[in-house]
Amino acid sequence: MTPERWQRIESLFHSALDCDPAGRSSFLDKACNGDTALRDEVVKLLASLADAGEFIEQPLLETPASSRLANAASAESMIGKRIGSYEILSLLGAGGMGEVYLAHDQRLNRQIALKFLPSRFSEYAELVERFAQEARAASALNHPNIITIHDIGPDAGRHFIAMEFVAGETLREKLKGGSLELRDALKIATQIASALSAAHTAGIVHKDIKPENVMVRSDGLAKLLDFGLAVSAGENDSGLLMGTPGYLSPEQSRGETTDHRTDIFSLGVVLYEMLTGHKPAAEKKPELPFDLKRILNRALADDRARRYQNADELHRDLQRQVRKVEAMFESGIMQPVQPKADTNWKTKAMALAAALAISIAGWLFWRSAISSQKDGSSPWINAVATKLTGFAGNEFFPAIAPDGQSFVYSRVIGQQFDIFHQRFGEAQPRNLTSDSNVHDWMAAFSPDGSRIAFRSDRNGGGIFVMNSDGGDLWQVTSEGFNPAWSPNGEEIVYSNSQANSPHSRSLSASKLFVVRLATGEKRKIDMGSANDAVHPSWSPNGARIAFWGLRGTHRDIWTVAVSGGQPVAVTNDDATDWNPVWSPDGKYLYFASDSRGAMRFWRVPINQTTGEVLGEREAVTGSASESWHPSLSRDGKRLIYVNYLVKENFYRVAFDPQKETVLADTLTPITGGERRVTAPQLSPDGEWLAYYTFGSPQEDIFIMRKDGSDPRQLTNDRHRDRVPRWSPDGKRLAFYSDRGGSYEIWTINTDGSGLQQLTNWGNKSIHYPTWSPDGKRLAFYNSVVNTFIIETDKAWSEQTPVALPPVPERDGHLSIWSWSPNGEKLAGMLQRPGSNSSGLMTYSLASQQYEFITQFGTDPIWLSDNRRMLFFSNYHLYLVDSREKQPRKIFSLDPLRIILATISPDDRQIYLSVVSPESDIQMLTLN
Amino acid sequence: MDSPVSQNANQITEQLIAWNNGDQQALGQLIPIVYQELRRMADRFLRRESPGHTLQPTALVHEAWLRLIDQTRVNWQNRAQFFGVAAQMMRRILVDHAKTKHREKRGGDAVKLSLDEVINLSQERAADLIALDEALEALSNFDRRKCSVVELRYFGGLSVEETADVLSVSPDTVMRDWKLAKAWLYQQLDEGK
Repeated sequence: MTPERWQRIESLFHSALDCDPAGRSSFLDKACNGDTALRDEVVKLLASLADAGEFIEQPLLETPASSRLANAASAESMIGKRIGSYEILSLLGAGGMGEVYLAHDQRLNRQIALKFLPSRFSEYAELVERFAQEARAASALNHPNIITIHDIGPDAGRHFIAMEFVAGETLREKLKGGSLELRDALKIATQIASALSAAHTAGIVHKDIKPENVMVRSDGLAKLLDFGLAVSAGENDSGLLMGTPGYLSPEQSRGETTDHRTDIFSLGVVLYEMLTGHKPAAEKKPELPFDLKRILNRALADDRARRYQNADELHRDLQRQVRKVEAMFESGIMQPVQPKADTNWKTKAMALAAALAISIAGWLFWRSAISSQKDGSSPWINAVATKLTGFAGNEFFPAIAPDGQSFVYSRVIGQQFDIFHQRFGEAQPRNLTSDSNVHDWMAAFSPDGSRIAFRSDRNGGGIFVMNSDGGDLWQVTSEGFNPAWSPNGEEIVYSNSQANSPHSRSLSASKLFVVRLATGEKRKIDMGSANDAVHPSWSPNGARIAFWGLRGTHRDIWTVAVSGGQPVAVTNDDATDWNPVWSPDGKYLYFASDSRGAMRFWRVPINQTTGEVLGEREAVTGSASESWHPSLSRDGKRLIYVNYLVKENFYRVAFDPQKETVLADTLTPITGGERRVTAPQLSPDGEWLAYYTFGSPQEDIFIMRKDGSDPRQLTNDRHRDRVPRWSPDGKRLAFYSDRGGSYEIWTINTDGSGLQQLTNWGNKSIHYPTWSPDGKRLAFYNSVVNTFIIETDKAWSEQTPVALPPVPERDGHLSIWSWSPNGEKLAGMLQRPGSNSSGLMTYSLASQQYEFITQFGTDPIWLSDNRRMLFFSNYHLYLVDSREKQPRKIFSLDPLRIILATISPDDRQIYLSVVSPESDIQMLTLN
Repeated sequence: MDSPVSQNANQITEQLIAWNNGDQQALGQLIPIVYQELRRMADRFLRRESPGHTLQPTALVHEAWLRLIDQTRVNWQNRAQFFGVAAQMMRRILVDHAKTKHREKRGGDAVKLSLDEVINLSQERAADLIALDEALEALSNFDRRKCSVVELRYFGGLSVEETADVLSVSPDTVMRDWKLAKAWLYQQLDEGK
């Protein structure tokens, strides 16, 4: 049997089974298309299935000798018999705790249910007595949801319970058809919670709550059975596990003492099963309304102390849900879902979830607001910019409310993003998601402004919707990022991977999905050959969805029809084009691009029905700083966005060179300014730090004391002066600068005097001056060619730069970063043409041999033992012994990024250069 | 309580978690322990229970789970994997037993196994079981998952939902697999007669 043929057979087998039996033959004729051997095989399998009957249906160990038959046999013999004043009429059911019969109480002329306990009970009179006490006590509560016990007693050697007959079925029987209507499930759970509340108050614990022990009458009244039975039974045989696997609380499973909270857990399992059709399981995350998930999470907490502490509390929470649902039915927003073969629990749950959110929001239909934006060149270039937020750290994903009165954005609080709502003209934002300690971000207003869709990592993560005031949260999907609304507010499109910044995309292909809020139905947007899509935006006429994605390693923008199909390209160039957003009139697509330098906004005229680009792109914002995440107001007159900045500062942290550990609690900031400083290096005496300021508008060389005081600016001009390095005598700094037209090595005295040019290679890019420890030589990296060594006491005209030998077996060269303190070795990165560096290596000046140290990392710094090195990878600090070659991560400041460092001469202090991404929300307003 | 097995609960739990994290060697160490324990429990149950009592494989597997594993350190996923292994063990225990039984008929080593009384295995059923085991082996060669579905449900006594958990598929998929596997196995056994 080949897998292909088996798959073919399998598919035909199931399709044929789904057919009307009368139509199977003609279906197979057609489907097999003359392949008679295939047809025969399928027909034979179908016949086998029909013949197989009970074959392997019963697990092997449940043999005919089991009690099932024994029970049936004894049942036969019981009917017609009389027990006391009860005449047995028929068998109602049988289970592990005995058989139940319908009987006629001749004394009081009523029908009762008569339950016989398993015979093993008979041997323990004392236990039976205790059980009887419990059962009677529960019954005596006279609670409408606890079954009434009439009589308990032994008769003819068997113990029986005579109880109220409930014309209905057990919850187990009801569940055979799958999950229940949400309203029914909630009502049943509420009644059981009420019963438990009464029982627990009286000191009675059930300990075996399960669907078999709940009777449900046709009018919906639920009654709890068998109080006391599990308690007594459990003491009967300590070797046997009592209670029912699957409904056992964790403490029961562990054989620990139990209390009333055990019942709460089991009721949680029963509620879960009523809602989903199955018991809680590992990898299943049901898409239930958030309120219900919260209730379930509390009821099912492993730790008793985190559970509902009493049934009354659970009862009240459930009652509140019932009231919500009832209101829904009364207002006609929700219709009972007709049981259909294809209606699964998820659809039902989602229908309710959508209805809950809609009702509370006050269902305002979206009024299409048409703005009258003038055509022509972008008027934004002259718009006025206003800073809306200025918190430390990142503010991302601003979205302006449709009424233009307020906006939301995401901001990091602690380690997590929360969503903040802020009115224009007010400085006090309100945290809408303060109740969660996971990421909540990527907020998007519904077209009517009443709701906010966003990404949350709660409950395993997914798209959530809440009211615009933060209330009535519910989970729409169990996946997705960057949600965007359909213009009619009925659907949400999202991608299944995230896209926060244009540089952080992984290479895994992301897809777009559309979820319908009323039903929870989800569909993938089929995009033909396009294989990556993030950050969708829905066109105002509802026809197309714009997105960006990877094309090879380039980022470009496309649009695709909502129904799917081949996407139409909006951009196709080497620049990073991302973050598309439709103008409210649908005439333009706005996006971010670095095609002319800084990342800023552009717009392009577009046909929102076909996706056809209708003209050239126009600049929207200037190039002063990076702009991300645009959002336009409904009237098209305001644009809010992220102004993206980066801070870089120095920190000091103690290091134990023996234990090779960083003492994290000694971390101390050295600088704290807005200006980005980088590439610190300690002076040979360990008292001063040299560094340079990075980015616009100037890059200059500075020194300051190691505690951050007394900064002295050594260069001050429009040229880029970078990576200063102390001469071993501490009197001069070498650095590289473009002040001569291309990057060359220059030196300057520490008092700012004596600026002189050391190299004059011409149109080459020369970087990273590295002094030999004796100060007589200097190595540098020519990024076009190799690492070279020159002599520091000679003029350039007298120099003969010495190139390092070729790296054997590798197509590349060493890019110098540091010289070992004993002067014997150079350390740097293996640099290959056209790619990033790939690991650390050393070069011995004496033997002229290279040694490969690691497969990753950059910028190695020698410790004083001439063996070990600090280096960096992925913004973390590593240590490696160049002989053992076992790199180890020793320090991280996530989410801050460690990018460079310098170490004190005694190896006991590390000075780190730490990058913190910084971004604020700004607004452009047209007159 | 004083069996050497439960003293090793920590170690066994470690192995289960390690296996869960992708360490296949841990599975190799886990299998013999689970096998011995199931085997021992099957015997013990038999001696203690009166004839006619229903011994459910789920009860066996569940109790093995509680006895062997430190419950405070595992999650539902570990449990599903454990039940998956245990069902395979049950298949081996029961088929091995059937083979012994079958040899008896042919005058082989007539060891009276206590398991006999549990399974109440007639000579004829023993032969059927061996044939089923062989057919399952054949099935697993081209559709491993359907073989697992039968293993879990028939030998492990797991419900459709539990089977779905172990295999990380939907209950619908389990039922579809079950139908085709049942039809195919029945056909193999029928043809073999």
